[in-house]
Amino acid sequence: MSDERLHQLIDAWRDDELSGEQAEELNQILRNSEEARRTFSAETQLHGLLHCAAAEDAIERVADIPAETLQSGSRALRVNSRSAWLLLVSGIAAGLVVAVGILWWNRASLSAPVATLASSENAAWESELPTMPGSELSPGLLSLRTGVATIRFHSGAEVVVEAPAQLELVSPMRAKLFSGAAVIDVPDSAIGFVIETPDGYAIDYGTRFAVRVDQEEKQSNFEIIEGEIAVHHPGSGDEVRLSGQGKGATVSQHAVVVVDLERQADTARRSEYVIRVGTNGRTGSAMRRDEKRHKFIEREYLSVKHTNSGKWDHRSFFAFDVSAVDLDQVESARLRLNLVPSTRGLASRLPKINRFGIYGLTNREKDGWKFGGSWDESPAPADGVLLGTFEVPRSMQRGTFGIENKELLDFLRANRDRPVTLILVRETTQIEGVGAGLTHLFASDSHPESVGPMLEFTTKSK
Amino acid sequence: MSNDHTHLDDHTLQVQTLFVQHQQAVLAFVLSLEPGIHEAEEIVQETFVAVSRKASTWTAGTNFLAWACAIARFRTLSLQRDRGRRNCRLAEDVVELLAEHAEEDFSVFQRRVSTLRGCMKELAPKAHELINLRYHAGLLPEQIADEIGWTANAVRVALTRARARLRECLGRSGEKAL
Repeated sequence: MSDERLHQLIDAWRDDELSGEQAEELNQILRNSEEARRTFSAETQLHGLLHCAAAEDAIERVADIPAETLQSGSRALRVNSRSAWLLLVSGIAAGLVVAVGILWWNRASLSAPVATLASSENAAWESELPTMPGSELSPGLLSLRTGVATIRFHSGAEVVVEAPAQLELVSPMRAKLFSGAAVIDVPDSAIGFVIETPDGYAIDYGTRFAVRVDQEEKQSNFEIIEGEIAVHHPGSGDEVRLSGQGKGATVSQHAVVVVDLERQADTARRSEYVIRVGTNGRTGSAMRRDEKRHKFIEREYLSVKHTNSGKWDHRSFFAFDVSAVDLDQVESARLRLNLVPSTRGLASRLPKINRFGIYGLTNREKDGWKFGGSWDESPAPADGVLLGTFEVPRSMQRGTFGIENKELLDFLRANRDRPVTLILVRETTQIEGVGAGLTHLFASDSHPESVGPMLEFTTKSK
Repeated sequence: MSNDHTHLDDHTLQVQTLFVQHQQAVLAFVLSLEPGIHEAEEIVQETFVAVSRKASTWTAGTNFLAWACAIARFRTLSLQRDRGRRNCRLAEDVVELLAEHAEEDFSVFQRRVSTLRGCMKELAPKAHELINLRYHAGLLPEQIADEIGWTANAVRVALTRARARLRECLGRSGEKAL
């Protein structure tokens, strides 16, 4: 092992540029040499110390700013230093981190919030709990009249509820769905999350699954999108373990019936109310700076960015095979994308509302696009037609977005004979300011926590 | 689960107060295992919650920072696993091996930070700004390059040089370990 190589690896590690192979190489070097561990520790301690020293400096500078400067706004600050405003904001933020923690903790001891309302789309509520996005939710009943809401439990479990629905929040690890439909996404931290329905309950073993409570039929349908759940039937004491995509179970007063939605595709789909189609891993992103794509384009994310100069633009694309869906029986089609938190850049550099466009690829020469392809090889808006737009407030880091309109359904119908590629771009740019603007990230199928792009079809007959 | 922490006793409050006092040192420790500043801050936040929950396992009079760092180490491994941050992840056995090099003496930490702040004042203004953008604003060299109109490589070289100068300055002030 050369000293120079170790320093190269440490530099790459610090700047988040390490490849999987290099990470293994670094681990191996550290395993074998006490000397290397000493070097690594000294370097990484300096990394931490520098952050703390710079933060303390900034906090002191904030304390030194005369009150009139603060009142006259950021302009005066920008004259002093381009980065002063940024430092001011993050300096205050650093000081607040634990203060917020204490607030959360102390409130937790009083009313014990169990979840946060991560987002709501066109949601109308009739509820005893607060319904502003970002609200901390204590145990209680949420009644959603219209729209879609995402509730993030403190355990990490995320529940996307579709109206009309009634959901009772019990604890960070437990909820009851009285009516309506929900998609539940459970990361490792929340394995064991329980969702009850009037007919039974499911324990989640790290997975995404959908549940629909049918009050008329007095039954609950569970369907696995990925992973494993156990469905319990209190009446008989039966427990059924389900694992793998497409597996489902119907729980009624009398019994649990396991259904394999994959195998019974034809019959099951005809009677189903909602049909979901994923991309099966067919997703990709491209950035104009092709030479950087190995670093910034990641399997887990669909990255999207647009700036005035365009030089750091990212766009994403994904393909769906809809050949198994009887599109003539479909009443509406909806594209769902899950926004996931991004630490690339600052949200404060974005306009308050960011508009995204979805295009349908019509240029047949680009049908064969590959993950990791260059900017020019990849499908672009110019290769297709605009199907719709949606908006994301800059304040949101999570949530489900997408489009649902006739243009999307018509486009899918016209192109049903081959995999359909949709292109996602951000149409709005950044606002003037300091620091890199945020790159929006949406989950791909490889994302460890959130669901990748999904088409949802509603059929005419139930 | 919701009943676990309805009662906030004096010991828990004492532990929380200690954590706030030691927060920066815990953050510095986390950054030595997870270089991403935003991720590290999130881990510290999670550590605070974990520390509050486990307050009863800390004995007054023992090294608080060492105890908090042990919890932070665990939170770091678990966040990196959940996020799939395998590219910057050190193997668990390597993290164990590195543990003996961790600086868990709070007074040493405070002294180093204050020495380092003095050293930063001696940097050329541009170098100082780069250090601030990198370490305080948490921007990566690529993003700084975009921001100030340099190439990423120029930013990297300048940062390496600034760090070398700071290390040298720390050495002069008697901080031999770095």
